[in-house]
Amino acid sequence: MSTAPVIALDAVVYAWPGHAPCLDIPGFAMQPGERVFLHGPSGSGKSTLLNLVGGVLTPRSGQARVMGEDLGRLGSSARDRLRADHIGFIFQQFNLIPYLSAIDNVLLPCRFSALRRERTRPDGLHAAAERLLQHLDLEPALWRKAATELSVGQQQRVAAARALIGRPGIVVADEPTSALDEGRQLAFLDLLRKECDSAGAALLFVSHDRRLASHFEREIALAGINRAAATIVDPHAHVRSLPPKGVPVSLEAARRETG
Amino acid sequence: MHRIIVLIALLATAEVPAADYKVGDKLPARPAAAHAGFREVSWDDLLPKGWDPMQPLKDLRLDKLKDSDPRAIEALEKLRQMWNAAPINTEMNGARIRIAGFMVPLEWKKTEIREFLLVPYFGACIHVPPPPANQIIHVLADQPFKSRDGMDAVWVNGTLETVNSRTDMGDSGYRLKARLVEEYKAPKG
Amino acid sequence: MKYLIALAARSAWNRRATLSLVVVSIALSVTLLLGVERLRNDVRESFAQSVSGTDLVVGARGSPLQLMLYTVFHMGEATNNMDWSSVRKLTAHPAVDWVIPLSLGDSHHGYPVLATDQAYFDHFRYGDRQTLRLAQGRRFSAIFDAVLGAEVAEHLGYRLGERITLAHGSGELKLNEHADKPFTVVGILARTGTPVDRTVHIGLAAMEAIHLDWQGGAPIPGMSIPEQYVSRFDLTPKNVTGVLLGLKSRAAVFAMQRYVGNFRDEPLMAVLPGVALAQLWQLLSVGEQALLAVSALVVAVGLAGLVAVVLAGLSERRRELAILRSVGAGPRHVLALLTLEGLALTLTGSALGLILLTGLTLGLAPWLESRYGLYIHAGNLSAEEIKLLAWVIGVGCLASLLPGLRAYRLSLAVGLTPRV
Repeated sequence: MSTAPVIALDAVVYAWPGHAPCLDIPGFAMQPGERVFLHGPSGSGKSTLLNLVGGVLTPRSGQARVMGEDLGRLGSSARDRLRADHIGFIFQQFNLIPYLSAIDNVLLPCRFSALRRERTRPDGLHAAAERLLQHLDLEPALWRKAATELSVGQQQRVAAARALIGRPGIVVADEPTSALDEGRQLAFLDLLRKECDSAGAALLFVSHDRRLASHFEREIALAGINRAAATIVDPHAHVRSLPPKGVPVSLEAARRETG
Repeated sequence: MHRIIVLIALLATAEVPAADYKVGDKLPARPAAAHAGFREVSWDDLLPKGWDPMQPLKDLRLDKLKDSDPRAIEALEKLRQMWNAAPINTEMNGARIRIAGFMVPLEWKKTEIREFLLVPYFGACIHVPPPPANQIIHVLADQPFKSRDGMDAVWVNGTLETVNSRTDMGDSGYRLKARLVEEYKAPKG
Repeated sequence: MKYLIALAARSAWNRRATLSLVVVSIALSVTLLLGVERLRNDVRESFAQSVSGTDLVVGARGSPLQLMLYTVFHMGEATNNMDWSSVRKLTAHPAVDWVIPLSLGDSHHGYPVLATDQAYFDHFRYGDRQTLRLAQGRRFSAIFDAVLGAEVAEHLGYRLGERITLAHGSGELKLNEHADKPFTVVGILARTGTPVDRTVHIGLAAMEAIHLDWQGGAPIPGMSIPEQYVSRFDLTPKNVTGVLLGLKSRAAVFAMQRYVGNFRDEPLMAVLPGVALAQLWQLLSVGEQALLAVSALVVAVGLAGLVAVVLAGLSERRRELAILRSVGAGPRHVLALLTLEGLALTLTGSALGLILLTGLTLGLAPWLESRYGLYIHAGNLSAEEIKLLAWVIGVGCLASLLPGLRAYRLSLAVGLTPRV
């Protein structure tokens, strides 16, 4: 396995047009296979960071490298391809495309990434997907069901399978347990960690719930590494508190503000 | 915006009306031009040399006659007879010509015309006196000509045939197998 | 790209409850548009096919179009008749090759009865200079012989030897029947695809015979001449509705037309069929264009509905767009996805519209054929229809770009962090 960091941010600054910078990260790096808990309540620049790492945004200054590629140098379709090839994404909820079955949802990344499709060999697409679903505790009866027929917990696990198919280098999970019952949160976390280990994927786990942090090798507060957030938000603030004025809660809100 | 485009596009593909001609209109004369092996001719070329139906009237001095003078009436009658018995110019037989005129449709095939008469002026079948036999060409088109209302002005390219016949009621005439029938576009300027 | 098509199809299928209405509205508009086009072209074709090789149609002076419609298409009413002596003069004219006299006025179960002579079978042409052919039997020769058109025989189930009675006038009422003088079917013509098929043909003498004891459209009370005695009387017709004329030289048509127009014995007119058809096209064209324009508008309305419904559903799909972006779809893919959805709906609607059109045509065609002698084809699409269909699909594609572009911008805005 390569020893180059899977994610490397170097003096990365991002500002929405007409606003003061919301991201100012002197340095952040993740090693292959590392498991990182990122404490990022709303308002600390979390959505901007996720979009940056995912290649949707490019830094205004500094260098953001994902899997060794400088994102600033790539065009938008190249960044889309990079994301498809190397990153698996898990959302907080409504992770699945409602008109596809569970297994079709899992196979989505392989439709957009030839690399990940390749990596499912020699088992083949369906076999690889089925194996993942099984490891994530989903019985075969559920595989062909439409996403809307599954419970929230089942949906999250399907999402995890989708993130992991084709063994990408990075899994980014954005509050994946926040919608689950307390009892199930740890179970999910366990399954996720185990599968990331066997896939050799680095895991960037973003959450406001610090109780889960103990399960990770490394814990970081976004407010700690983000100079722009430190001055605005209390690093220990609960997610329920409203963000200060001027700082976008979501990418959409941010775009709407700046027009 | 898209709806307007739809409308305009659909209306544009509908047939565009032919130029407006009035009854009796003739097509403007053009300098002689050769077009793909067909020699351009005018309607006068179809008249035999020395044929002048106005001859009987020319001999009269109309200002010297009284009203209803029998000589005037007789002259007009002679003119009419000459008109009816219009002889054809046999020298034109076999000529590969190109001539412009107005169509009078004979056979339709949906919106196309296969067979028609070509005459020098518009409205020959309606009000004005009909053209004499040596100013009518019976055209059979190799390819049917698409026409909106059948009375188009066209260029006809083909081989002319003279048809001789026995009676005096215009059985003699011109026939043409048209290789190409094109819409007539008025010359600029 | 192939996967996007599958994805678009499944996405549309998932919302089929809402979208089916859109599909139906597009289908109906396509049926209307193509139906109007088919009708107008086939009607023209029907008219143009009905007469061929006839130089002039001569009748009493009046409306040229009415004369044509009546003598050739057997539609409408005759205004005045033409004297038999004029017919004889025309036949004798040196420039005339043949004359087919026609007399209309009676009917049989709604089908018009045409009285004519042998010249009809010799010289009448239709379509592309095709002659009439007898499928069964022979021409009429005895007074009460009748030759049927193909449609009459088929629809009424008549065979050779059948005895039929004719009725006066064009109605189906049994009141004015010439019941005492039945006819025998001696021949059935092969199908022509023209009004000939729905006509019953008898001799001119027969027409005189059945009206011997009639006066002014009704039987003379107390007078009745049995059929076996009719030949004692003079059965030369007094007048006819009109004649079809063939000249020895087609170019003589103008001179002949003037001759007929200046006829001193009675007011007559000669009509050039080609020119009369041209006038018919002109008459119809305004209505045709109007119908087409309206149909085009209806299609536009259908497509506008499609765009509105898809656009309205977009705001619900923010998360879906974020998911797609997270697995590596770019905004271009999202644009393609939404556009493909719209295109799929347009195509489905068009296909359904075509099926509806075929069904409608198959259903209506026999009636139109039987009642009016108009032939509407139900099978393949004509070139004009294909062109119109291509237009509909093209515009549907363009219209689908609207939600596509909206989705494009939305996916850019949403990124990987949709509003939850």
